[in-house]
Amino acid sequence: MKAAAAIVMCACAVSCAGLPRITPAGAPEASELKKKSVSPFLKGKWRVVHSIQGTLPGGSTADMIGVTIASSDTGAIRSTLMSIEGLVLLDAEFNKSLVINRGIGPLGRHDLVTGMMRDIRLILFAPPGTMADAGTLADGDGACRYRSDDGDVLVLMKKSGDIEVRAYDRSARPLRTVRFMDIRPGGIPKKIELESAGLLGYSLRLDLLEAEKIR
Amino acid sequence: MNLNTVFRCPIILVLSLLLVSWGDTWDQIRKTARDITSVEAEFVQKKHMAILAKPLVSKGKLYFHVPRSLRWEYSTPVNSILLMHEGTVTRYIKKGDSVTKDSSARLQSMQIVLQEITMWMKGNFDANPGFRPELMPGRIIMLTPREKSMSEIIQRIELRLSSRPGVIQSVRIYESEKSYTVIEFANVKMNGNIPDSLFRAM
Repeated sequence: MKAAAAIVMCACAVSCAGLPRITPAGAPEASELKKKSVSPFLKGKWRVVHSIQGTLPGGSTADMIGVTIASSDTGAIRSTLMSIEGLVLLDAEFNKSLVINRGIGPLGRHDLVTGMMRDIRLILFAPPGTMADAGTLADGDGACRYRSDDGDVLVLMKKSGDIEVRAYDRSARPLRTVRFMDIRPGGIPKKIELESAGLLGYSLRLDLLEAEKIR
Repeated sequence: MNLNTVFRCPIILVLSLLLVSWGDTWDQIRKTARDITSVEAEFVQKKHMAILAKPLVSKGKLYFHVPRSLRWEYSTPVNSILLMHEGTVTRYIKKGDSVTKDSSARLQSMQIVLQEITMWMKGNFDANPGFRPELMPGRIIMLTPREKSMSEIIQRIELRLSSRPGVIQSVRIYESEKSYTVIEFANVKMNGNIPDSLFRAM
């Protein structure tokens, strides 16, 4: 449980770098890139179940199962984190403000769960703000940059079909990298990897177990 | 009444007395469990929560050997093995050909329940001072946490004993009325030969 909490705890760490240069594309291509850049994110209200493996600084790991109901229309999230044996470690809701229904030990801490909700939003929802750039990187990968008050989000469309999301703060320091792999035709990725930057960097690997659209 | 029925009636009567008595008193339960040296069973675990439209189902196998060796192995949805042997608890996650050791395993509160199971297999339902055991009609054992700190994690545990002497039919672990786990056991084999290697670190 402490390991699970520590992964959430590391959600506060950051470090330094910069945004790569994007060679702008023409209007029709930019529109196509924009469409593709939001393809791995939820559209509407969904229930998703993932097995989650977290790796902490030092290499220790923690395995959990996550159940999340999220709506891209409202931004509301309800997320439950449980042990593989089924014991609920965290049950929290975010809809403009955070409510922790159950949080065992450190997972009852608001700051930790707020960091976790930030990661969930990055993984499930299309980037906030407006598209500032669309084009290609030096290596030929398609790229879209979204800008909001919180910073920039760069979405890279790899030649392999994978999609990578890089989140930066307002000073262009990298915060998180998310890789979507094995993306289903409907848009829900079967595998997701998240890496946080910084000294206390951690990583999460999510494998999709179930996905259900809620009407 | 034919001859077959005449012979069958006393047998059925003796059998029912045996079955009724095994889960009726603590003494009977302990006496029956005293002869158990090993247990092998399949299990289906169903997690019920308000956030789920249908329960999340996990399946696996358990192996128990006296005095306190337990292998709790899930085959779906996550292939994981929880080993309790010679006082240590370790969890392994299998993904394809690779096996990783889960460092958080010994910190999981669920292990309190798994440690309990090793004691339940031997009929020791009152060995943990943290829970108050109560024998209810219908071969149900209710374990209620004595401490508030524990009741905030687990509200109560209900054990249903099978009509087969020495066998636990199901375990219900209530975290709240809306969030609970049901583990049902099937194909229970008692006192079979379970190789030691199953309990060794991977």
